[in-house]
Amino acid sequence: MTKKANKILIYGYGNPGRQDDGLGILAVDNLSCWVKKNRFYNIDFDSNYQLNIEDSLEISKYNVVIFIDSGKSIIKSYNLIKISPLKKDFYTSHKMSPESILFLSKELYGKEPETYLLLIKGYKWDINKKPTKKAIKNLYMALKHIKKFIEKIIK
Amino acid sequence: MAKKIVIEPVTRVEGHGKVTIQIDDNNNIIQSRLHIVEFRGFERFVLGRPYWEAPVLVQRLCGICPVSHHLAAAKAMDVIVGAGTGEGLTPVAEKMRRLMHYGQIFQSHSLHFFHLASPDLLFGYDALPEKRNVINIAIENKDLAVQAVLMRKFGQEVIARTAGKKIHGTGAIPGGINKNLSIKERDELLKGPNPFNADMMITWAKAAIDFFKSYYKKNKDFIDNFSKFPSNHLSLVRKDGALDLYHGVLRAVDENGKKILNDVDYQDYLEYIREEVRSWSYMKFPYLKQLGPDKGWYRVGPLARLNTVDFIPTPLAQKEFEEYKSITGKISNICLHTHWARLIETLHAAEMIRDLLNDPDLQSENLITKGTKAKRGIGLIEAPRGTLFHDYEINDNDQIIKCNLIVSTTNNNQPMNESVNFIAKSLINGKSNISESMLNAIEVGIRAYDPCLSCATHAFGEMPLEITLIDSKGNIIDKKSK
Repeated sequence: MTKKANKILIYGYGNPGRQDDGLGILAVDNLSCWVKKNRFYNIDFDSNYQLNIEDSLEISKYNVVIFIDSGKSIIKSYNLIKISPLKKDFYTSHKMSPESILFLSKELYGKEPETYLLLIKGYKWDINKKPTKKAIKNLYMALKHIKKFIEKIIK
Repeated sequence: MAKKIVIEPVTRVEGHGKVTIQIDDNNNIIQSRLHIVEFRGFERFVLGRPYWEAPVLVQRLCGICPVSHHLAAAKAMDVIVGAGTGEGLTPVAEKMRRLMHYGQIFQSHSLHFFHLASPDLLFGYDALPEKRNVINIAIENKDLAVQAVLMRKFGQEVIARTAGKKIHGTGAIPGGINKNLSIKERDELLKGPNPFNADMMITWAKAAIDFFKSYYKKNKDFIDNFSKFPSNHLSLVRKDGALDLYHGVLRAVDENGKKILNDVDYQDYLEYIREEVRSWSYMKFPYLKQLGPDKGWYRVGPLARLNTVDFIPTPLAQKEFEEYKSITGKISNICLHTHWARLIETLHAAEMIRDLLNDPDLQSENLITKGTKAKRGIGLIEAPRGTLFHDYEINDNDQIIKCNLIVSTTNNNQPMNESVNFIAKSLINGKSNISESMLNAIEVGIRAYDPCLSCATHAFGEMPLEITLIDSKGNIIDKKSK
């Protein structure tokens, strides 16, 4: 049971129909079962294809936010970093970065939750195929780490 | 020595493309083209799958307009299960789908205007790139940004309650829907605490039109002359000529508003529409068969729709439509009027959402229609960006054996190329220096169509804007990136 009054949002994003792009969504599915099984409270989940402006309102309601995404460019199997609001340039509207979402939350709603990004290494983004075995292995390593991290936050 | 200017990728459009502008020794434009540099073979990946999976599978194409693909595929599958060609569903099934669709239109149009178009309008297309984005809208016009967030969120919530979930929704199934709308769900949208309710969305949608009209008064010359060229226009219209974004007959008008495709059944679309392949782009070029590829290309989307329809069946949007028409005349061939048309449709979508939420049919239980099975089904819908075609054939084992998709942006391929050419000629022709604002003007022209150039997911990574000058022999003579 959550001992601290931290309200936590875990937000996975990506397209589960696009192979390793869906790692963030798979992580949310796994974590929501784990949270339910362990009867942790004050932990909510959300997921979408990509982040967009309305997510700034959503994250403004929480003390702690953990975004989960997949990425090709990271070297390690996964990477968990604390992020800061960033008035960042971006070139497409397919996505907004977690840092930009945090910036909007601070600018529009005066809220700056403690925010982390868990990036899990993926390899292929083909349509209509299952995630790669290597990516699944990375996912389970990342899940093991983030579960310990969440337990630390709530205890 | 001829030179070629390459803009890659085009920024703030859905996906990415590349623009090349070829210039002669006197800096006069020889040729301008919008190239689509990705090929995804969308049609192939559904082959061999059972037909009933299609409405969910096709959402894998795109994280930007999954609802449009979901509904177009469902409409095609309605035909295959014998539930009619758009008019055979039960009232609750048709109205739930309409609610889902108008939620999609509302959130997509809101996102486009506030997130993508308004930075160009508020800060000017010659402003620095780091200024022209929604972050600076939030800093300098907080109220507008808060409205944009809530309008987008409202549309998303309508989708979540009708499609069942945000990702890979399952609301529409062959022959109907798999859920109705509970009273609780209805009231959350209809009577939510201010500002999160349908009435406030109508108020804000109206305010967005007022914002544009005020801008237009001050910048009429810019808007009216930025990019204009004659074209045909195509969309679905309701049988009585009303704007209907979910279902109707196919109508096309020419540059003067004369009907050239007179309310035909879209199940026969191949009798009227063809697609041409050109060597320099992966995206095909559709055209009206009767006029041929040179004269038969057409625009789709908000501008085209307000050119084809006779009226809008909701009162506030109709009033705005009348005012719009009093200024544009019978037909508009002006590219930036698309923003105005898109906002009128946003208001219409908000009114439709309110009216549908008030309809007790949404709580009915009769969700599915079945009939005599067919081997082929075609589903069309007016997606936010324009007419979307889904065409499937199945075999005796219920597997999909043929699929043809003409997505909205493909329909707008030639018009986008025409816009690029018009702007390049008016702003760059004869100039010895190519400024960043000139290049961005071309992107502004393309963005007006709100194109979804590829269905690339976010994980493909950041793409820096790169401009390359290439001479006639293919040598790079200059390169800029930001």
